[in-house]
Amino acid sequence: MRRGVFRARLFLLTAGIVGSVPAPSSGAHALAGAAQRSPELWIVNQGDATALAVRRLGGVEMVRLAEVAAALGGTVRPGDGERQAVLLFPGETVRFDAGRSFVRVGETTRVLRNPSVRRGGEWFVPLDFVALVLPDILVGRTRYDNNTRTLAVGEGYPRLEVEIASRPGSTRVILRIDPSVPLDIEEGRRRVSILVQTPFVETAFTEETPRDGVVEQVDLIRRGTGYILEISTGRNYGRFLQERTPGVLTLNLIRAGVRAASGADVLAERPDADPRRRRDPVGATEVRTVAIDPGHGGPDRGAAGRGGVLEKDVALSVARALGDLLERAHGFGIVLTRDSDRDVALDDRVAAANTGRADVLISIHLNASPSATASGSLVYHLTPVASSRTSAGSAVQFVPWNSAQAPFVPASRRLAEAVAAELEALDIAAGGVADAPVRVLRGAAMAAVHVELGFVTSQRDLARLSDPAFPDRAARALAAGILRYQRSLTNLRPTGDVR
Amino acid sequence: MKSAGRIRIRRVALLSVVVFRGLAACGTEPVEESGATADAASISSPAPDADVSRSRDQQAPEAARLFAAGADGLLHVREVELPRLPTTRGRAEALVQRIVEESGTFPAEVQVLDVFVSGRGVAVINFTLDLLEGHSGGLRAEELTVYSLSHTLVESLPAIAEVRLLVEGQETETLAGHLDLRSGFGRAPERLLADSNGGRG
Repeated sequence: MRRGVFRARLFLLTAGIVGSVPAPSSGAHALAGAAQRSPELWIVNQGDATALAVRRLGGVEMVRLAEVAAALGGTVRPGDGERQAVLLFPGETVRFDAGRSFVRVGETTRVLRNPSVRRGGEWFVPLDFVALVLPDILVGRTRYDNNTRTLAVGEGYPRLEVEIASRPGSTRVILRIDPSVPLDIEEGRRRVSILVQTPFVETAFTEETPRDGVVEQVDLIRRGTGYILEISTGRNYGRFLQERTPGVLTLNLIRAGVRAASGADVLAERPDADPRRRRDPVGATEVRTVAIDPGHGGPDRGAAGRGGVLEKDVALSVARALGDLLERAHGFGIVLTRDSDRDVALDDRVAAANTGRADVLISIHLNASPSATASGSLVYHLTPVASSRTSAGSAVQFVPWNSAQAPFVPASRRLAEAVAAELEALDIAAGGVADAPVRVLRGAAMAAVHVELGFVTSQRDLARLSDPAFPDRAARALAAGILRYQRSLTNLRPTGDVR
Repeated sequence: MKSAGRIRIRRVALLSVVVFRGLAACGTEPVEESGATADAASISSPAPDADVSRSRDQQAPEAARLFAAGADGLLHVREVELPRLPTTRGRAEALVQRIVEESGTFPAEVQVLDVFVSGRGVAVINFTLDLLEGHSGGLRAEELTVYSLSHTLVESLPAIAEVRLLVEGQETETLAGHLDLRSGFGRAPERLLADSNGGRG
């Protein structure tokens, strides 16, 4: 490395680990952030990449003329006197005058935004010379990409496209590159990076800002002799799944709490490939995927009982136990709306269930009352809300209600009855089934119930709820309720289908 | 300025915000309380504070049914006396204040910012943020809070058919994560009432 110049040969980056890239003399080389500009200028000449340190002289970003010449196969020699320099390419001559905002290219004059500078015996030229003048005078196709500060000379560089799609439970990022080049993935704090190992790409993509909670921003930035498609993740990001075909890398960034049976399930568009799996509430014949929603979480602790028993904690323990039981013992696909102590918006919970194409949603809660005598479990389903009468005091007036749950209410009622029947196995008084305008059920496009397992404000219930064995017991009862509901669906099948 | 019990009224600052946001949320047109629009029976007439005070002084109290949480965790009815105010809104304000203070279902710190009644019988009650921040949580507790309010108003004031809750002038999803507060509420389900006939007895 001489005078801050380095010629970085193309090298392979090991999978998942970015190889170190020699730093320019400024030592400023670093992964450029989303909004950061590359601290260096890159010249890619027929596939050979060179980084040039960018210096700020008099408030203007400049590069050494000698380094530009070296990267492009030219030479620099003194002009007529100390205040002039000449850049020579085969068949072309460019003359510089110190302190002048123009250059002479052959017999023509090109105006620059800022003057060239001679300092310490070296010549510096402003970046716009590289961006605006060089593409016109070099032999061979030459273009300057301002986003990555790269001047590329030659043909045959890969063409890159990026497609981003926000969906309720996930955000999909598809990177296509033709011809194919090595693509690696690196996951860091609040980011997932796709490393594109090629010195230059032809692309119109610079950045996108989905800001959907899972993905905040996607930037194409340069790192060393390659590129990074950097995906800045949001607070709702949970994990990613990947799928590869030659030249195509698809990342599905899953919203926190959404658990898929397999990566393929989430990655594919899945316009209900299996015709047996009908989500029509009338025609539903089986349960294959169960969405489990542990209520509250994070700063929203839910109801609190004596001894530090919190609704959010018990709900999560029961949900985990139920998910494991249903998955392991009964082979159901599971969507868990949260799997840690974090707050998840109510709409996001329902979105996770819908996106996961769950057939059943069970939201798990503990109850509380100002009265210490209120106790027992209760299973809620949603019903339309009706006001008792009009202002005239006569006719019943139904509040318009057209949410996704509406056609599923009969199925939800059956599910509630099945679950309530099995909750009698718990040593908590079974309160049966009730209906209420429960917020989390409104948008659920499936049979959906809200289960209150007991009152944390009841001394008797609290003793059961705080028992370490309670989550497993509750999970068994809830699983039995789902299986009971499953059997009821079987019994509803047309005659020919009844086993 | 204080009137109609201890309801804190920020009429100038909040009137337009609450009326239009609240009634827009109800799917009803805002109703001018001047009484210039139709249906006098269902529209509260203006209730300047001076008039309210005069009416209160001049007329005998009237009875209302207030539904408060009992030791069994259900809503129990009890007769209360209210000033005989000339407008539905004034009566609703007075009754809401009694509910907040006496039903045992509201956080102690909560205050009523305003009460409005639309021409379609929708009462919009605007509370301070304490309604959310001070709530104990739990679906049953939320039900008792909401239905002690709506059941009392619907049972006691014939012009009110539905009750909606706002917090600091805004719609809110839930009190504590359960009941959908974007709904309007009317009579309580029987399972919440100590008297199975809904206290109409």
